[in-house]
Amino acid sequence: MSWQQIIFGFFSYGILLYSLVLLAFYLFIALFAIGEIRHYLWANRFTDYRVLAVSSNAPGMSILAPAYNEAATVVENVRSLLSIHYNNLEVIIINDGSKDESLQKLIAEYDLHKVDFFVQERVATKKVRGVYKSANPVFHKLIVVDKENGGKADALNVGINIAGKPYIVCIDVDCILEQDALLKMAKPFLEEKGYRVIASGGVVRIANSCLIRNGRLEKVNLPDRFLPRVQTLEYIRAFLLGRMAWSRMNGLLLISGAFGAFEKEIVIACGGYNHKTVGEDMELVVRMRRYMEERKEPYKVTYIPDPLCWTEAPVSYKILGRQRNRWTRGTIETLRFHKIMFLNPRYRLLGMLSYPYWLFFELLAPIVEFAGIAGLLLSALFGFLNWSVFFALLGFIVSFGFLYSIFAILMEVLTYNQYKQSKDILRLVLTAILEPVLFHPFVVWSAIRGNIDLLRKKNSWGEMTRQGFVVKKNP
Amino acid sequence: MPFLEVHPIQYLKTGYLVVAMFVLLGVLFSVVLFMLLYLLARKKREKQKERWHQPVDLLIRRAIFFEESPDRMQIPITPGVSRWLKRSYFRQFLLDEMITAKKSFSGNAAENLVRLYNQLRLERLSLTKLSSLKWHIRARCIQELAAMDQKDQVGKIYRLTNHPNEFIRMEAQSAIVHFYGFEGLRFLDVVSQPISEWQQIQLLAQLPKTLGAGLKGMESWLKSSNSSVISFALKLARIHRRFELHDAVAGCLDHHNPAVRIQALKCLQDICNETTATLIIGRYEKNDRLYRIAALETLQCMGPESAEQQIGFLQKELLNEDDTIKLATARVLATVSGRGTQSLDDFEKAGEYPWNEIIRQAKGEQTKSGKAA
Repeated sequence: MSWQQIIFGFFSYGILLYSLVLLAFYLFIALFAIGEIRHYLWANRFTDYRVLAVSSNAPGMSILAPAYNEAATVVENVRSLLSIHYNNLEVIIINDGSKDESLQKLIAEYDLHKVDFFVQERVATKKVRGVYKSANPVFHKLIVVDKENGGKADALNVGINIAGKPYIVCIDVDCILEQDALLKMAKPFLEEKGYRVIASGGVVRIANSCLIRNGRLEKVNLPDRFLPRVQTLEYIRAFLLGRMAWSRMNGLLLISGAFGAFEKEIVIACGGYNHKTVGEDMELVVRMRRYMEERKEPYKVTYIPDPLCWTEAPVSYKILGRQRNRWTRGTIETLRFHKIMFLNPRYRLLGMLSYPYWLFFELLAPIVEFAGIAGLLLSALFGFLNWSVFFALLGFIVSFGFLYSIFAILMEVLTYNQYKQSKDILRLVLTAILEPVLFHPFVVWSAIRGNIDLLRKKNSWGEMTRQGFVVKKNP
Repeated sequence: MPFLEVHPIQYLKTGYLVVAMFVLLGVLFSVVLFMLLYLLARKKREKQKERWHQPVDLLIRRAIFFEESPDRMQIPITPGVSRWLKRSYFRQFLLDEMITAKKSFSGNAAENLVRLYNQLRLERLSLTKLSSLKWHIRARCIQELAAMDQKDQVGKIYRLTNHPNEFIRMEAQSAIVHFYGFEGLRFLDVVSQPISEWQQIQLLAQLPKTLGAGLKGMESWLKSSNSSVISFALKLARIHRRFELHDAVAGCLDHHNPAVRIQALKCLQDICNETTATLIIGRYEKNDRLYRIAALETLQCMGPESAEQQIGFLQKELLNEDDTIKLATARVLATVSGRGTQSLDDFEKAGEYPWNEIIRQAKGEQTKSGKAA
């Protein structure tokens, strides 16, 4: 057997084995998620969250919302945050050196005044220029911090230094939170399970085409345009299946930066958000887990399947490409920072399963997929492989992906059923059919571009232009 | 000659792959079909519920305004409702609507809803669920029995207050407290399973706002071997200002569980006397950072008299290397007008960072809270 044969055989059998393990993982995740969602729904079916909203024993929560050049929407977004049902709450808006009139608009709208405030630098940050509070008692929960520009992670770290409550909830300021979002997020921290809940994530859903009135979600609609709609499907798949299954195993590595709650003392003990990565949300969760593992303290990172946070998805391939490129770079950086955990039994499930899964099946998947398809295509073109086998294999893989999407839609229908009309469900099914052609190849390509950009030391965040929600004002 | 006679993938027979693909597509179409049928069934069920809604609403209204008279001992039931009552799905729907209505009423209206529940023998529906092997069905059943004031079932429910399943246990504890108020808390004497913070909040919300004579046994709960029982008793003592328990609460400052110690501090804040500050500060050195911060916050809330006793200690703590402790200390001193604020002004490092900012903030907050008061 020649060396070419050995390499070729290794490549081909490797791809085959990789695909089989990946399919097995998907199957396992889909089935394993069912138990977790079912348990959550049963356990919370009769929960009266209103009790917590008014209780003097409810744990204190600080919402941290970094804002950069959000002048157009910041006033409305803050109003939305202040209307959330939770008594023991403070809302901290961190103006990350905006070049527009964000701060001036907030000062004028909420009657803000600069106050004497000692900012204890428990996590190192850029300079804080001032802390503002409202003279109007109606807005007593609001704190606005003005600081030098330092990026999202730095802004969140300032928020951590300012926060006076034991739990922090980090959100994107332009997200729409459900009114009872914090009540639901607080519950896992209050349950006695024999371990410490260090972080809790909430499901993020796509708000494009939804109706928003006065900063509140009024009507859920399936996005009209293909690109946000296919991301709706993608989010359902990721949140209802992937994250719930990993949460059940206590192997979650990622809580979305758009909405996550953390125990503040652990965050500080870990050093806060890392501003050297564009994937600061994932990196923080991994670092917190690593911290707990190294101290051998029992802990859990939980996930709530309720749709609690709504965000606007990119509507153009250009913006989507930047987002996916950034996600890829963030994942690579995070895994690189914590490479000591890879297959390290000291980190138990985290090192032996979560980390390898993310490395092989999240990070390397686009590369393997690209290389695999290109390799098979070339093999077929040069006559090493029958076209019939090529197409049959492609058909099998696409069918499996399609089935996985349909299963996710079924779970959505059986659980939260946000899209009430049958025609919406059929549109989602149709979207799942089109996804392998119109969406997936682009996502794979963006991820590969992310790898290339990282090699070229490109570490920009990538501008995210938003179109804005369908807003309905009160008459 | 090609360097590889047969491509390894070629070993996957086209036929097998095609069969596998069709199997997947078959499953896929079955799932889609199931989903569409499920959506249809749900739509039908929702329409049915809409149809039931009006007569059920009417029945509930009749029950709420029902007044018993010698010729009218029972709440009148319409023939339509009587007919539907044979269907278990309708009975559950009716029960759910009654429970929702009961939460909004008290007095006669609530009693009449219980009368309707008994009249329709809906407890049979609930009781069949109590013997279910599924925890969520049993938990739901207990909630129904409690909502409908079925005190007859208290024996069965009480046994579940220490059940290994947390959801059954929580519902059983809530039900007992719902039935008997403070007296219902007697399960705390024997409960060995933990009572979560969540459950403690739920139980506190169910208890009457005024104490009356119903609260007995708190001294023994404060010495319980179950830490969560102590935490709960401390919350109760705080809410109801049980000054006579001061010494027992102070005893909890030496508990091995740090959460209990912090809870004891919070409780002492509201039932303090002239010895409390000394007791708290006496344990300051041997405790961790969290206790120290909580102790200073307690001292701040206890008022200027308590803080004034500790001025010497507080001046020393201003030099603590932990900035959070410095700030908490300055806040306590700022509450003591005269000696306290003077000691902040006279502090040797008052002009240096970070003390200058800390003292400014503490004084600013005190001025603001003074204005608000």
